[in-house]
Amino acid sequence: MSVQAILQRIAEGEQRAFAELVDLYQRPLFGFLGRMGMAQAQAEDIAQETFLRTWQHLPSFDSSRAQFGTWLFTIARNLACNHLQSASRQHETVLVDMPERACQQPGPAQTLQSAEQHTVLQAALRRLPMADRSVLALVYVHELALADVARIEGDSVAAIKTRLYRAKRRLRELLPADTINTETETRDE
Amino acid sequence: MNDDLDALLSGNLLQPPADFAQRVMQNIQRFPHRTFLLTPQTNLSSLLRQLAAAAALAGAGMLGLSQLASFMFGLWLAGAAL
Repeated sequence: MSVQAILQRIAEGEQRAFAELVDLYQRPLFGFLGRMGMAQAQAEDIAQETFLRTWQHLPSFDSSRAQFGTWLFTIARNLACNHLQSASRQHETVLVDMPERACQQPGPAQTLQSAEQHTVLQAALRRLPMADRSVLALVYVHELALADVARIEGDSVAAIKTRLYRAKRRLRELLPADTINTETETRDE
Repeated sequence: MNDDLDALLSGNLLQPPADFAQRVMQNIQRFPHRTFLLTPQTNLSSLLRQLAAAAALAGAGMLGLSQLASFMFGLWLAGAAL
């Protein structure tokens, strides 16, 4: 069912239809928050708050101005940036949360290796400036086109491409050399 | 964008808990639900933009034609004076 159809059902008073929106967007949202360098517990709080605000402000959502996904990720981005900035002002050591990051389910060695890579990646992402992190986190949300990312970031598409290139270059510099190579081996296996 | 870093960034760094949607639905109960009018998806601003672009194109075309006409008139005037 399309997002517009779900929104129509919510508008008509069917509260349960909102669960379908949550189901649709929860995975990309957690992926986004993970790339923002958030720990699992932080991400759960921000994702909850994002959906809560979405619910509260749904009557004012104007689908002629933006797509629902763009609107949702604008809320999520603002919440995440505010949270991370206030956390860094309070000198909160986010790295303490690192071990609880990604999927904690026990699995084969390959899964564990991949989880380790994710931990290393998140540590590197946390060292990036917020603007770099934000653009990287949004660009890899498959539900968003580059134009949507540009709209969320308040930049042109060309500027987003430049920012993305720089952010990736910085991220490569921060990642241990073997991280990316190991990933290649893992994918090739 | 198909390199190893892209593959790494595309992976699911975090997963929602299994009961996440349920928790969200419990949380939203605190806020009363009211029906509302969904803004139709027909993009009015884009329609206005298209109309403005068409008007600008027509205006620029007329301006171009008048310039051409005045150039031709200038040529004719110069030719007549000789």
